[in-house]
Amino acid sequence: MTMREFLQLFATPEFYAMILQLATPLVFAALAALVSNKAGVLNIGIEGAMVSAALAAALFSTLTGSAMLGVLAGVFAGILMGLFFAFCTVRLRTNHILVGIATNILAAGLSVFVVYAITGNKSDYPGIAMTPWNVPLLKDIPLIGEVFFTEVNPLVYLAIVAVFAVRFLFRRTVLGVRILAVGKNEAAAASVGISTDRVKTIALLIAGGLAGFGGAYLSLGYMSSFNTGMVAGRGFIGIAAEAIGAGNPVATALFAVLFGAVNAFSLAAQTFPSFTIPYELLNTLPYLTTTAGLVIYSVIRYRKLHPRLAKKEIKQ
Amino acid sequence: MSLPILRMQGICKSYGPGIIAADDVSFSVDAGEIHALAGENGAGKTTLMKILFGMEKAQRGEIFINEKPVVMADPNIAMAHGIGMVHQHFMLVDDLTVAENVSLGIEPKRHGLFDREAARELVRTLAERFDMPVDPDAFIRDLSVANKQKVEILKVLARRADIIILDEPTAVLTPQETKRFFEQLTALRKAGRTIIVITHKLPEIKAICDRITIMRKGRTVGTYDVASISEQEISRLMIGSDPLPEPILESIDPGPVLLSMHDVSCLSPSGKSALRGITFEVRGGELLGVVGVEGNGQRELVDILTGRKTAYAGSVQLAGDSLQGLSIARIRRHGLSFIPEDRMKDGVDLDGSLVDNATAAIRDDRQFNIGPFQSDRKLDAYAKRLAERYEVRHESLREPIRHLSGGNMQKVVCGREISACKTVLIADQPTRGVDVGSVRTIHDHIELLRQHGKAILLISSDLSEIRTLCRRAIVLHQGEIVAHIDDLAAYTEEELGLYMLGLKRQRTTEAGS
Ligand SMILES: Nc1ncnc2c1ncn2[C@@H]1O[C@H](COP(=O)(O)OP(=O)(O)OP(=O)(O)O)[C@@H](O)[C@H]1O
Ligand SMILES: [Mg+2]
Repeated sequence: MTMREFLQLFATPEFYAMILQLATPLVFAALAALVSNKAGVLNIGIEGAMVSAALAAALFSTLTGSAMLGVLAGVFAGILMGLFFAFCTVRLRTNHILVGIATNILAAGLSVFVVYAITGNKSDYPGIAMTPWNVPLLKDIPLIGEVFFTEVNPLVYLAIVAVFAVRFLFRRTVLGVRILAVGKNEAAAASVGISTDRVKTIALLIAGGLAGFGGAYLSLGYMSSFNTGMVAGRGFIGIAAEAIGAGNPVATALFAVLFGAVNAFSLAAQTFPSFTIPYELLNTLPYLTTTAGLVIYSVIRYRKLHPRLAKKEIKQ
Repeated sequence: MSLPILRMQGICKSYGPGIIAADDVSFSVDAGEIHALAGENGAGKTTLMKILFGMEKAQRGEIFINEKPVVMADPNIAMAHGIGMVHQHFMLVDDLTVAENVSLGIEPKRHGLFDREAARELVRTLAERFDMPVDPDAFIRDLSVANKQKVEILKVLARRADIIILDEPTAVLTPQETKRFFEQLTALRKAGRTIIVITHKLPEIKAICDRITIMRKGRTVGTYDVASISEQEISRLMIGSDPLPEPILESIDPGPVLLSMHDVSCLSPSGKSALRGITFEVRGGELLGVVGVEGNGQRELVDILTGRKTAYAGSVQLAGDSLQGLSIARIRRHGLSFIPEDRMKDGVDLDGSLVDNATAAIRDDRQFNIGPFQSDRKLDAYAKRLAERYEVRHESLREPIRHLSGGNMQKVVCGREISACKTVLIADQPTRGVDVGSVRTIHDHIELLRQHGKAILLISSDLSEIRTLCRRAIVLHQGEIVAHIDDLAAYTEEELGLYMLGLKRQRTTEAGS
């Protein structure tokens, strides 16, 4: 790839549209991680919730012939997975990580089984894709119109709305404040009569629903079928974005977009014939950046917590 | 006589085989009285009140509110019956603001949403009415322990409880604040509220309480009219003997300077000037008291000395070496021991056992090794001796320390730090929450440490504690030393009060002597 080609890549609206598409499931996943985390639960079951949601969305879209109902089924599946997670961790007090692992393995295995049982092949199940939106007038704005308002899946917009909805939840609603209280100091919340189990369960259901949107988007928006490897660690990348975003919904979403951009770049770069790096290697880029991001983030945080020699002088 | 508004009958509570916290306890409180609940550390006071508030379940016994039986299954039921509780160990969410904490569970709503402004207003009105100024927008994590205590009290007042349980509410308040707080309590009593206070400070009981119930080893010793019982009798009923006399301060020749600050200044987290030009020295065999109204720079002073705050100007020396840039671990290895003011946050590992906590400061010492390994037997023996010397009431060496009562946990921290002290001890409110008998024990050990030539810095909101233990003191006001006092006994409390409030200060020639 020459420098010019490289720069050209950044000048095409398609590239930015692709970022938007790839970032959307990550944003949903990251928000799901954020809501769980605020309730004091490290929820690594998001990945599994997304897998189930993606499959349920594809299944029900073909069953009912409606992409919309498919999405709803996906969200419902995500919430169900959230319920399972909540039942195990909150009611049965099982270790979060173990339940998360179980959720992920369960979803992975079950999805293969269901697909095979229905179609006889082990990996794909067709779905009915959602109709993308074209926003009149706005789509005619050069570049911006092409990226944001032409052929855009409605769930992309919903992801943006969700970021602010989550922010609103924690800033302005009673439930939000209670989730924060429960997550930070359960005993304190319980001492004022808050039912901490209920609050945690609600938070996990919300997280499940968000993951459900992410999964449904993958099978009915980004693609128009379910295949078994399609979530591809996006749940975990979402968790990473949340960690780096340090609990702030907007920052979290921005990091999710950044990871989406890297993903878009690794895909786009493969289309250049002169680009000689094997695509298998390129495909690792999103995961490498995620790891690098986490490392950088930890270093910065460590520095903040353990400041070096003080150099602040005070003027008297 | 009025009917008891609250009656607990035959309460039994055991935390597992052999651990009996309440053994057939009966307790009754009349409407509109201030009732003291006293007893040595680990007597079962907190447990009894947690049962009343629905946070712990008794195995046996009944609770009557206005003579009607009530099953206190959880705090909601207690609150529905007009009971509110200020906990001995804070029940606050560090990452939320004061307003959010105070309104938690009773959040004001507007259009179905959390009305933050109303929550702030609630704090402001309460703070003003009860004369407990706190910033509604401050985060709990940034507050001093005393301010956290105020938030806890406001939290209960906000709930308009009829029966208010206060578990050692004044342990962290300054005498001035305590006085104002008591005025508020008397006002509440006049307004018909009933108040139960747990405290180890006998003068407070005499000052405001109507009746007192004394507990010992999970049983009630009896209930008495406060007017008809002396402080000495109370303490005898509590600990079963007269408290030891206060240690006599023996003079010893001061050794070399072990701890010093020279022209130290720093900023508070919010960027205001917190300390300005602090200069003092403590020699071996000296105990220097830090006097001052809480929040005048004590926290920063301690944080700098213990390496928790590294951004400051000026120099701090420990046994002749600069502390600048040293980590907490390195500073400790230099011989500094530290009793932190907040035992729950900084003092203990709540999930660690008594042995883990008692031996945490001597783990580097090869003396406790067998070959390359640490010897459990030696560590156990050390912990056991420490628990005996400091009268730590415990069931087993292996149980997690969170099962100890507040005062007993404090004794573990004191014992660990005093025993492990090599050169300098920073004691920040060392006897907070400790019963009268054990306060004397701790004082004795601190005095002994001084006689062994160690340098000690004592920070205490209890002026009488400083007067008991120190000859020399510095007075902090708004981050400055306003007086260096060489002979504390020569000053009356009033004179010290003038310095503490900044109404008077030594001239510079006098200061720094
Ligand atoms: N969760 C628990 N598990 C086991 N034992 C406990 C637990 N909580 C308290 N205890 C034990 O019950 C006894 C009574 O404790 P409690 O906290 O009621 O004492 P207290 O009178 O409040 O003492 P203090 O003055 O030190 O606060 C203590 O011996 C303590 O070790
Ligand atoms: Mg107690």
